[in-house]
Amino acid sequence: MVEPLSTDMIEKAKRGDPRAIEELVARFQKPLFYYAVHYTGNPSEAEDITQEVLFKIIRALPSFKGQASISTWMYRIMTNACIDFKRKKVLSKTVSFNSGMDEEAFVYDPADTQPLPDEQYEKLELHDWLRRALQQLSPEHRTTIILHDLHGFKYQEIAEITGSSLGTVKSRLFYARQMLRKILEPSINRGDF
Amino acid sequence: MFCPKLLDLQSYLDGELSPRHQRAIEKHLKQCSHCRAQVDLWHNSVQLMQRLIPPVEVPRVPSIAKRWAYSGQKRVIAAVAVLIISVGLSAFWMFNGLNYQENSQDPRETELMNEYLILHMEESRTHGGSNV
Repeated sequence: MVEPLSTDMIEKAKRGDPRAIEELVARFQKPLFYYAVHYTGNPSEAEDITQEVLFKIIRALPSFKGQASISTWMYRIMTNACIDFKRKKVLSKTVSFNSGMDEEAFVYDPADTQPLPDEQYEKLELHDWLRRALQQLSPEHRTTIILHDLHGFKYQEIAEITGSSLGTVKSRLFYARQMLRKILEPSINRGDF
Repeated sequence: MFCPKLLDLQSYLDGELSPRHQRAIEKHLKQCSHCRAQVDLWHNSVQLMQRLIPPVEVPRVPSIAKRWAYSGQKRVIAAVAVLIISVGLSAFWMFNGLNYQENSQDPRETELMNEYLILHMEESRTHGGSNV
């Protein structure tokens, strides 16, 4: 979890104080970047998204009303940006697949929850393996499990970030853990970890 | 023995229950190996996931600061461009407006005016001649 910023600092950043903005960017850039990496599974894409999002956040700062915490507000912008990015990527790949130009266009499918074949696990590094496992979850389940288990948000905060009810957050987290466990199971049983 | 709902067990693991509810589940876990196994399984999965976070280098801040500064410059350039275009357009309209006013006279009227001027000049020449 990111240390909260003081109200004074947030007010200064809202008024466009360069030092306050710099402090805000320095404080949130790392966690937001990691969140994008966990979501997209691709550091280079995550870097682009983080830059866009930080830029968007700085521009939108004057409109931040303080109803939610600044951290929740920023993660909401980042979550929407990640979902949009993936959606556009899938759409563009589907279009290129339909046009018959790109044979690999249909390889990636975030909705595909089928586990990877056993022989593929052995070839993958453990980090890469988790990255691929996360990519097999739906955007909603992925967002929830990343925010909770990797970024330490509470249920209520996740509900605010994702615009869902508390009950939905609980059940999404439950199913995400179950699914991830299912994907991880063969390797756990083989003693890979 | 009644086991708690799975979602409550999960909330217990995540520390999201009220202290009273938390204590009740703790008490249950001491007696129920099935629920304890479930909580342990989740706990291990979460730990495993946290252990497997990929190490990546975070991009440097200056790139974002530069972009923000560049966007400020862009705003100034855009404002100056708008000002220049507005002044240019105003000047163009003013100039054209004057020309329009000059050109907007009826050709027949101009012709009559020219005829009048010619007559007037001839007359004044005639009268001027007689005066000399």
